[in-house]
Amino acid sequence: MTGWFPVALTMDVPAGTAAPARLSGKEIALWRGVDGEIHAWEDRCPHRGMRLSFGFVRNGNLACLYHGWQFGADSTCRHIPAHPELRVPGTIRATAYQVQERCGMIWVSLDETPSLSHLPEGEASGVRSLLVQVPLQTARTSLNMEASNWKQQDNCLFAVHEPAVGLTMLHVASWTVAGQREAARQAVQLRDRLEAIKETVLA
Amino acid sequence: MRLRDWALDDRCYAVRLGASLMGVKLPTVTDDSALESGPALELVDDVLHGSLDILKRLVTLPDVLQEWNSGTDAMTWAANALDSFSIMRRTVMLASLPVENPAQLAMPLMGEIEDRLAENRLDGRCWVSGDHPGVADIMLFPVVALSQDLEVPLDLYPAVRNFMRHFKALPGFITMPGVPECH
Repeated sequence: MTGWFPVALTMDVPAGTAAPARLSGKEIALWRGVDGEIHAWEDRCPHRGMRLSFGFVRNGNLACLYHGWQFGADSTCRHIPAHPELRVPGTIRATAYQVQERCGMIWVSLDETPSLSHLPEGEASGVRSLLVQVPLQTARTSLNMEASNWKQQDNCLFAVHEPAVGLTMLHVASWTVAGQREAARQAVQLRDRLEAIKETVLA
Repeated sequence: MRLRDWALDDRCYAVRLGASLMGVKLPTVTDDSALESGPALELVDDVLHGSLDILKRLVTLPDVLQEWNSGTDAMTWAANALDSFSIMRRTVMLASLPVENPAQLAMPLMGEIEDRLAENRLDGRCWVSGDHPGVADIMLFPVVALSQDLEVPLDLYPAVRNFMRHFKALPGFITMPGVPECH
């Protein structure tokens, strides 16, 4: 899977918290330090495989819930509570992905795709993310997203990603406060229409 | 006053949680029947059944100073959500064989909750009850927090996660098995 994908809204990962996300089944831990910097790592502690998205943000590190191993912003292990005197080898690290925040959304790339480009400029605010229980391609076609996974419409940005096969997360952001309600309404309307069509087809 | 309780029941948890948040000391007695019929509150001359009626009574106690009332619509909606969820959860957890894809059972309800919370959020409110947490929020919390028992993936419900984070920060918040203090 190549490219950049919107996996969450900026407002849904506040400073000092961690949150789960999935990208085509790949589990991702998003976390934000108290300094506001966002991180996207494989959702798996290199120690015992516990989900890092269950962890705590402590002293600028993400601490695993299971044994408390702490990983710094550069994803290397900084501290192992059971061996407090140990100088932790630099090879012990979480798997970090490329991450950027643009237009009120958190964008992740699982590969070496160059910097995120093409997106509109300006500070947009997240409106909401909602689950649409249809395949990603169906949602993209309905939203007239040609070759990309986002679309600007008036003062709003609609972007999609696939958490798992057959599911789509639709993320909505707006450049104006006035446009937020209308954007949310359109998103809900689209979801209801697509899911109704799916139900009809299955029936 | 005493609560007929079953520690692992979601409806009983809603009452224990409400009492703790409201600062009410509520003695409990384990009662097998609460597993099937939910919590019951023994009063001097009466017995109240069901989370909603019990929580509504707790709110009226003279020691409860904070406002915990929710609008009637919100309370009815949350009570229905808790009842439906409780049936689903017992169906899955008490099944003799594993239920295939249990999340699918709960996802329509979770979607409805997510929509309501997301709409509130657009108004700058994180509670179903309005600007303050209330009985409706107390009944809703066990639904979303225990949805993990039905393997509901919470990455699909960001407004629910936001609600849970705020709820767990309330003074007097208590846990139950399956509801950790963090996350």
